[in-house]
Order: sequence, then structure tokens, then C-alpha cells
Amino acid sequence: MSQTTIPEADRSSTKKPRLDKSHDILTCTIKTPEFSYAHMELITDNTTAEAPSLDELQVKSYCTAALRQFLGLTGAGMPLDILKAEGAHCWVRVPRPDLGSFAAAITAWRGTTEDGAPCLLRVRRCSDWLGAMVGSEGQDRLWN
Amino acid sequence: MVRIKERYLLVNIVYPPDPSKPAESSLPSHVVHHQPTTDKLTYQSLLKAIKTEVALLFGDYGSGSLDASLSIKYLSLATSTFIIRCPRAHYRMLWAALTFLHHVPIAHGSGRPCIFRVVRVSGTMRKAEEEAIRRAKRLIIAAQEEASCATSTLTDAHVLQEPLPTDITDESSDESMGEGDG
Repeated sequence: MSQTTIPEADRSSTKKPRLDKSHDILTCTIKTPEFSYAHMELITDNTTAEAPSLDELQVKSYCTAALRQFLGLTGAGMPLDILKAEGAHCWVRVPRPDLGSFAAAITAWRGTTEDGAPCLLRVRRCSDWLGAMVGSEGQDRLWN
Repeated sequence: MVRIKERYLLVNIVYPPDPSKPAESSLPSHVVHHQPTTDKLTYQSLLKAIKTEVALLFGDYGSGSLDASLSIKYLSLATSTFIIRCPRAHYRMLWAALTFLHHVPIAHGSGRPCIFRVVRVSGTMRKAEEEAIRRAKRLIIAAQEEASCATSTLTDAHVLQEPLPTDITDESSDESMGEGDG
């Protein structure tokens, strides 16, 4: 939908105001969204067994352990929402000012051993906008 | 010229009276609140307690940013006051950790319950010392006035306890405290 903008001078002229084919009903600028989103994947060395699967409780416990180690009690108290956990991938939501600390805590986490194999959480993508983050899913496959 | 900026926190150790015990009538409340501290409190034990609290509250990030350049510059057991130095960017983390301490940190056993109250944040050591001296003088005068109020039967309108100033951050008179650090 194209948006044509008419300069203010034309509007105030004596011409009859005409309704464009497309006009703005509402313009809203969001400078500071409230939340930020992160997409993480569980990476494991275990090549023989099947791919690891994550569920929400596991994500919560791994993230809490990482935040607790890196940021102490104030980090463990960070409000974290788990949007989805599927296969080895998970999508979480954190308050926007805490995204940097959260990503640093996950990166600094030494991981756990699951069934004898060390596994880590790797941040695939993080963004202020969920739609943009999920929508650009296959981009790295496109260019490789 | 690049200069390492630091903050000096002037901290009082305050002993609130135990509400379960009956109040001792003879001492003025200022004297009770600002008692001398046991000499089991040493530089090392206090520093260690603060570092442990920072590691608990703020994790590796807090330890990394504060541990290296945290030091106690002055400790006075008689006046229960100490001055601690920390990097300028992280003084609020240190202040928060001090708020969460509630026992006097001694090497063995657990100390008395107390409150660590930050009364001045300053950019230079000299201003922090001057403030410590000023507060000690005012405390003595206030305690004397309170004692004389309690003993005298006449109520004198001029003998009012001067409230200790609540302006903590020393911004106007410190030349090396630049713009606000956020």
C-alpha cells in the first residue's frame, strides 16, 4: 500500500481537499519497545546420538544457571519469558534494557553435560522485534 | 589528560536498638546508635565480607568490575566509620552491597546486627575526611544537647536538635567530580 504524503502548503490552499487512494489512518513511532527477543540453540558434541531436545523447564534452568553465575541474584531475578521451545531451539523474551546482559551471560555460560556429552546454549539471533527475528529464519541457509 | 576517576564512600555503622529489649534510659539515642565497634572488625574481614556480598548479588560481572580496585582507606572503630574507595562507574553496586550487609563482619562467628549507612559519596579522599570530621563534631553537639534536654526541666525553645544533613552526594565542592556519571 503506497503512502503518499501531501506537503502542508497544499493542504491549506483553496483547492478542494481530495481523498487519496491511500492515506494514513494512524502513524505511530515506537522508539523504545518494551521487550527484546532472543533465539537460542542447544549445541552438543554428541554426534552419535539423536539431536538434543529442549523443553521449557530445561531452558529456564539453563538460563537461570547462566544468569546466576554471571550476574548473581540480580541476574537470576531478571524476568524471562520462554515463548517456545522446539527441538534444540528456543525463543525467549527479556526486558529490552537487559538484552545485552542476558546475551553476555548465555555466552559466558560453561554449559552442562547431558548424557555424558557437554552441551552449550548458543545465541543464534536477538532482536527488538519478534517478527523480524523469526521472519529472517532461513537467511543464513540462503547465502551458504 | 586521562585520569582514573574514583569514588570514596563514607560509611557509618549504625546500631539500631533491639525492639524486644527495654530501652536503656540513661544514654542519649545518638550515642546508642553510633556506638564504637568491636575490635574484631578488621580491614580484611570487612573487605572480604563486602566482596562476598558483591559476588552474591552481582555475580561474576560485579566481582570483575569491583574486586580489583576496592580498598578501605580509613577505618575507625571508635566512631564506627570507614571510607571505602571504588571505581567511579560502579559505586552504586558497592552501595547496594553495603545495604544488604546486616551483621558486623568478624572473622569467626557472627557479629552484632547493624546497618551500614552511606552518608557521603565524594570524588576525593580529602573531602570525605572533612565530612567525617564535620559529622563527628555535629554528633557530639547533638548528643550533648539531647543529654542536657533530658536532664533539664525547663524546655528551652532554642535547644533544638540540629538535623544531620541529608545531602549525600558531594557535587558542589569537589573539583574533581566532573559531570554526572549516569
